[in-house]
Amino acid sequence: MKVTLKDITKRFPGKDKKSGPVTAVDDFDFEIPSGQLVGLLGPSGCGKSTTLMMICGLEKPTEGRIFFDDEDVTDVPPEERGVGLVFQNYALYPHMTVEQNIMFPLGNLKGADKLSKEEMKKKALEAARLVQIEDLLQRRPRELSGGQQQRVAIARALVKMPRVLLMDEPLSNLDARLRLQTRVEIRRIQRETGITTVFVTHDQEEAMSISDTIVVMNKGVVQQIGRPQEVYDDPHNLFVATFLGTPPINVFDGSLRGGKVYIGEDAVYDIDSLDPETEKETSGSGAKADGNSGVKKGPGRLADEAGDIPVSVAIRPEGFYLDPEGPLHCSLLGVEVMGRDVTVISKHPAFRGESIRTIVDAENRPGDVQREVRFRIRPGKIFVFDKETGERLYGRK
Amino acid sequence: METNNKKAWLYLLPGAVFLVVFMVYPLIDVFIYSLEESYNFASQTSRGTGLFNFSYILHDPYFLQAVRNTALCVIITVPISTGLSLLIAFALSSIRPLKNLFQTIYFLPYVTNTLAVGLVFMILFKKTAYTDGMVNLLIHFFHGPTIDFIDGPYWAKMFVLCFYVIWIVMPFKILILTSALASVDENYYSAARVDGTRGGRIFLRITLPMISPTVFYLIITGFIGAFKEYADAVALFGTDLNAAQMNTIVGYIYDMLYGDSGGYPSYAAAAAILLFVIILTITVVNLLFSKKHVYY
Amino acid sequence: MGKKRIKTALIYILLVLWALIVLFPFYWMILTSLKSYSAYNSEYIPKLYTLSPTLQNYVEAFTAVPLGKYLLNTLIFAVCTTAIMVVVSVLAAYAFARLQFRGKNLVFTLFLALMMLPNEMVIITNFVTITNAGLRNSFPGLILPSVMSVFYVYLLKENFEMVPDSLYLAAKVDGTSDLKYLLRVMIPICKPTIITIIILKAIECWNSYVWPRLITDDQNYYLVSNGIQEIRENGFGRENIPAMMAAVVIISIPLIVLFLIFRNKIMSGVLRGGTKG
Repeated sequence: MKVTLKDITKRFPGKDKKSGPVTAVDDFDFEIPSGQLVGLLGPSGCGKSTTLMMICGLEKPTEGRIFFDDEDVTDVPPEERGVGLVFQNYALYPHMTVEQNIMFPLGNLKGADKLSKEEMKKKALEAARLVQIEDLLQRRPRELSGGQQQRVAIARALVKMPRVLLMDEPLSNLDARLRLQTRVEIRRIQRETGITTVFVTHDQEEAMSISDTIVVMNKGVVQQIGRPQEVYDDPHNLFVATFLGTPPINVFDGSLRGGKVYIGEDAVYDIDSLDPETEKETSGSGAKADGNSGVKKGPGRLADEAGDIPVSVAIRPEGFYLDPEGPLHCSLLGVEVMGRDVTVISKHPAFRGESIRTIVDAENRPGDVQREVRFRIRPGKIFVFDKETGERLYGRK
Repeated sequence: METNNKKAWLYLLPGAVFLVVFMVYPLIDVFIYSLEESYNFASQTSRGTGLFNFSYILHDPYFLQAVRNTALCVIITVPISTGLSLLIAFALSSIRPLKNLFQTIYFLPYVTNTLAVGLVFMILFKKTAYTDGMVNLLIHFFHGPTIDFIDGPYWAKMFVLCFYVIWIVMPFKILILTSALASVDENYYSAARVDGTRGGRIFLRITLPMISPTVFYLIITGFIGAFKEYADAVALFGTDLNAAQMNTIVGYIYDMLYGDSGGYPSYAAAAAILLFVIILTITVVNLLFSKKHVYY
Repeated sequence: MGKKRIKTALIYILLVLWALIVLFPFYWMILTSLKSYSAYNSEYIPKLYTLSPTLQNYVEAFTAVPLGKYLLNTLIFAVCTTAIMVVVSVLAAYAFARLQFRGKNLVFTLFLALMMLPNEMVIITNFVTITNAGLRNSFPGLILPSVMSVFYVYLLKENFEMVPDSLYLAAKVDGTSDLKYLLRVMIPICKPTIITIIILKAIECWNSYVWPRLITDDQNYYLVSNGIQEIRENGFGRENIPAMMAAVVIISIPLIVLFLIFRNKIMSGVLRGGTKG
């Protein structure tokens, strides 16, 4: 099932009359290819859950249309859309057994679709098998672990064989170990059933590891759409760059001067060895994030400009390597040993946060008495963003 | 979420019908009654409108008697029952063995029929030709003079009424206070004990302030409940409370409405409104006072 | 150590003393009900025990006065009132807790305001309404004005609101209608609260006195409270106190049994804000 969102906007009435409506989702335009697992990713309040609820049919978009394949489902109520929904808190009915929970959606079928008790039991068992909880059917939800409860919730969502499976933060109530396990499990189930799945999360690692495509959202606006690796390697703006990756990307106040990228007084990179944004094709499927409407972009324009151009320079933690002759001078604060590699913690006057975190090989760790470290930057790991708009000016080559 | 007006109103409809017919409409109506002079049930006519009804009941000796009885009952029972229940709740919360048993026993009066048990109280206190009654036996044992509490002097009757009212209201207060005491965080006590605070000081400076909202809640509900005193008096002294000089405001309302002296809904309405004004005033005063003195 | 013991002893003395005061009337009613009429009247100094208990008074309570009729009336009254109250309150509480409609806040505020209203204010007009409708001495006349308890709707609404939204959304996705969701999900989950309000309302009905007194003067429609008053004033001949006590015991037993079974439910229900009557 292909799901198409066509210029979806959702506005909620404001808390009081003066403040006016709040835009939760702004002009979302996207096509989810059939059988894919798409991760909607963003900080809380970015509109990802609202988007999910609109696909589900529990919320109606203020503007725009939603299509399942070629069928316009915008005005179709949820139960007729053929969707399954899995909640963060599982939403299992506490007074029913696992089996009754899974069968509950089947009990609502009417007319020709109505099932006999045996058929319902059979379907419930099939769904339970799929998520491997067939031994738990007679238990009640509170007798199950969080991971098991989540599987029941998934089985309940799958029992009607929905055309689209929607998951709202399905892993965030689980502890770290279970989360990893269940992540793999969801991926497996999705592959086995081939159901188009939309997955909402605020955890970038989760989204990147599980999804075929991720959609990064912020403040109701889609920032970037693409394969996880693509988005990580090629962030379109500062928000996307900072939101993806652990430890987070290091952001500096920098400037462009005489063909060089400066961080403070350190000239760390040649502009020529970076790709200017204008020549780039926007990846993903019609995201708004291209936004390069000819403003402040292109090397030609920058070259003509006299004096400094203030920018934001972002460098991935793995984009540094220690070099006694390196251009970036940082004062060393400490070294955290992780085993395979070490995290070097240092400071630079132009750095935006508290301390710079860089990951280097264990063999190359700086000495204990060292006061200063010098870094060279790896290609493809440094991005230059517009200081005001956050749009990317230069990036990987 | 979508709004589904029609469906919601459909769900509310049965409740709304009951409320409008039996609460909202009567509320408006009672004010109209109270302003209609000598409204007559049979002819459904009145002689005019005005404050006549209020002036009538304020000059009615039975009403004044009822107000005096009710006020006395309030002044006596509210402080005693609140203080006593506080004492018992505190005692209850400091023991472990038998606590559940005591709690169960103490709650019994709550689930009894006021009229039925009132009859037992009447027999315990009454002095007849055949017997002096259990209570008088006890008084006699301590060499006191025997008294008929049910048909005797005013103060004796008032004593029985107050005693019975307290007996009836204690379960509720003990229950609420015990649970309030249990909800005070143990750490406060531990901290106070580590500082070497003595028991009495802990009670006055920690426990009481912590449960002060509950105590004020009980005082307010106690005032309201005692002002509406009626059934307990009937249980002890029978339905003709005016003859027993033991009528209450609520009793006066019902007598005016129906019964031997009944058939005057206008007077009943006026009395009900006066009662409401009294209760409202006392509640507001209590709330203002508690705002100053409740630590939360 | 000694001081602490004395304190504990004092506490127990106080508790036992109050327990005696509470229990004594119950003991006395049972004791008296077991004494024969002649034995009781011959005790100028009442005895605290009896050596020749008799059940004659209980027989008399059912034969000499229509106590059975009073009990049956009260049962019918309590069951009908409570049943209608539950249905009406559940529907209203569901509308307030779960459904969105225009004017909800205003309606709910007005609703809460009614909770403050003393019954005495409205009983006058209700008396007139029921009389004019010709419903005096009838069950509808007894039951209808006694149905609504604003407080129980409030209690239910609070409880309904504690059921997570996601359960509702999940049910909506599956195409569950509101009514089915209410019946199959909300009510089972909130069963403890519903049982609590049923018990509290039943107690209230069993003890109800004022309204039945106003609206009935035909013995065939008396409830137990009015019945006991009638017995006191006209039954058995004025002075058959043992028989009266037998009637009192019979009237008291159902509620005490109910209380001993549902002790925790009743006490927690009262704790959540119930007041007598």
